[in-house]
Amino acid sequence: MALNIEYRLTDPNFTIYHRAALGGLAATITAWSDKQPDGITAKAEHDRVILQSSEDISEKEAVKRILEASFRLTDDKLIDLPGQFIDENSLDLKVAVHEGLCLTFLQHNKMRPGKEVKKIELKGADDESGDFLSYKTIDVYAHQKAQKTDLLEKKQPNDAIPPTAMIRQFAVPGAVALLEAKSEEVLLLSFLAIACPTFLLRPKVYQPDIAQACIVVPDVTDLKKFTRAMRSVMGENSKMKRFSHRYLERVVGGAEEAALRFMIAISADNVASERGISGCQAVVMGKVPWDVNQKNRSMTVRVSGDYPEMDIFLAAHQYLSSGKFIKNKKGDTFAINTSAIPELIAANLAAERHWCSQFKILVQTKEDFKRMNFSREGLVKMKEAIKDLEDRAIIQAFHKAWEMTMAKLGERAQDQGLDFGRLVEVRQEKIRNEILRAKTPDTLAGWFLRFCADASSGAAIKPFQEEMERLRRFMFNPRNFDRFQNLLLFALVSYSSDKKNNN
Amino acid sequence: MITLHIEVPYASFRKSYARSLAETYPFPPPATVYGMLLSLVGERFRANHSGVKLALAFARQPRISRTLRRMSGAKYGVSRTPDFIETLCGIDFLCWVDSSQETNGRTLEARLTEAIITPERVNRTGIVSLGLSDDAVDDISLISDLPDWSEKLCQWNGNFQGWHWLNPQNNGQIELPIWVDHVGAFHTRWRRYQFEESPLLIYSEPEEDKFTPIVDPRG
Repeated sequence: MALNIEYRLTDPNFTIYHRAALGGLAATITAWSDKQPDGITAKAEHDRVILQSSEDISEKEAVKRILEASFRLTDDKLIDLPGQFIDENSLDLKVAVHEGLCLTFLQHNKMRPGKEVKKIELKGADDESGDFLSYKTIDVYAHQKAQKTDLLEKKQPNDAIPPTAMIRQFAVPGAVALLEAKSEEVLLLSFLAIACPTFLLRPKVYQPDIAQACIVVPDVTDLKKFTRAMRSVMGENSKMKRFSHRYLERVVGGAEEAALRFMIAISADNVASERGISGCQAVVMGKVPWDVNQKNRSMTVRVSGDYPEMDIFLAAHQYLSSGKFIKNKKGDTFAINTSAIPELIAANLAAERHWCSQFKILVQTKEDFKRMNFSREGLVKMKEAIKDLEDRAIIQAFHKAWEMTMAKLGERAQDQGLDFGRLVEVRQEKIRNEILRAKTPDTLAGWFLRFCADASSGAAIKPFQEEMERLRRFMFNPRNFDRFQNLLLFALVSYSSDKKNNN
Repeated sequence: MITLHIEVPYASFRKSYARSLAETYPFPPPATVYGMLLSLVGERFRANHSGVKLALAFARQPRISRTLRRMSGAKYGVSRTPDFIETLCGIDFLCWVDSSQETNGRTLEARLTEAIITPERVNRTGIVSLGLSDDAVDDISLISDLPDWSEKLCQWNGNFQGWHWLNPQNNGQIELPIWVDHVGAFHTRWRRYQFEESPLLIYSEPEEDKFTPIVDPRG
């Protein structure tokens, strides 16, 4: 009996996982181009995919051939997914995808046997020899043979596929209990790994020490557009090198940051009309104290990419999202991300909190506060991207008062022959402590008014004159306490001397 | 057609594909609401009111909280280890029940009316819950005059702005089960929905396209 399956994107029984998997299948078929597996005719349209086999091969044989052509290994024994359109030369990206898949879809060793450890050399932008990255090779993996799903193992008349099969962890990660579904669905869900970019997580703010890796599941709305967008973002001719061509681009602070990065890449100007997705769901795989054997799903978050303060994240992403390689005690190379600010902003936007919420965590210690100086350019760009009028008014008022305070410190340094830089540093540290120690809304508002009054020697500073009513309403509303505190700390680290403050 | 007002302080509707993290659907699935209505009238056989149609409108989008709990090993086939569980909080919705397509004897509409007006005539046990037995229902009331009731609600609650429809839509963002196969997943059926962001004061019966038919796929 020949294989004949039609998948429709609008099938009411399809969840976000099915739709993403269908996107992965469509991308794979596109990647096959005219080199489709022998005896298989596959066709991907805007809203449906058709898989057919010739009469002379059985259903099982057809499924085997489809899986073989879709899930491959490179000569270096790295996972090779044609549907992801990764350039042959992007070895570091292939290692990132390989590692990501091993931490998520293929966690258990039995799903990806292999013992050898290989190293690849990472070359810098100037082609100079860089660090070495090691990975564990794979001899075979679960997707290649639909391992333990009953799809190929169960004996059936005419070598047909059984009516039902089992959904395993390699299809939908985080599986503990078995789930039965129609065989066509189980086959389809195998392609989820192709549509979902995986990221390695290095969280500092939310879920530190728990989150290890994440999967970004796109909510596919048009198969052809999605495929074109993926090819454009990931493919060899991609202009979006930031997303596709670097190992470090797959190392992020949190799942929300990963999802927003993917959304940004896929929504960039040249592929905006080709997007084909309406949002993403990020699934975090992490350590839990009660199960040391595997990474468990510890959080899922839905990201739309359409937030009022999205520009702040864009600025943080552009100027602060960078990673670097460090060496551990054994001498192995390990990737980290240098700033936790994009992680914080992305997590806040996705959870619909204020964008600056919990900023105080990032300046809790003196060392962290000092380290913020290295992120000043990005922080200034973030400040410029703020749309909320209350936030802008608070930050402007603080900056004006801080500028006047610094002018006084400058005069003092000149008169007494002191080091101006040191005076500023000490004052900044004092301000940080005073803001962090304010425990009630009244104390904080009182501190801010006193700080502004001291700076201007009692006169009202210009932002206060212009935005008096707005500032008064904001400061004396006890509900704004956290937001006010975080904004003041943000203002303290995002100051830059520009003409806007010279009023 | 009858209109019911249902309030549930918290409940968890575990997603079918949720494994080690018990994610919840963002709204009570029609399959679960139907199950709760059957429980209210003391019906033990799911297929007995197959063909009934339900329409749902919510006072607000329920908030999701995440807690650490132990899951039932017997129910989910997992070891009795703790795990993160998502819980929907503040579920407050209107449910329209239309039995015009039912063919098996007494309709669900009639039985629900009887159960609410004369509960002593109904033979049932246990508390009414929406989904799991811990997720008890706070209130189920029959709304006979919806415009009048909505007006009173506006007067009592200054923050109330209206109801948000949960519209069945082929390309909707939310997928909810409308029939659940409790043995495997072969007979589980889904439908996609879109949550209407802007609230509306509802004065009349819902249009046909707002209803979800609950049909037994086993025939």
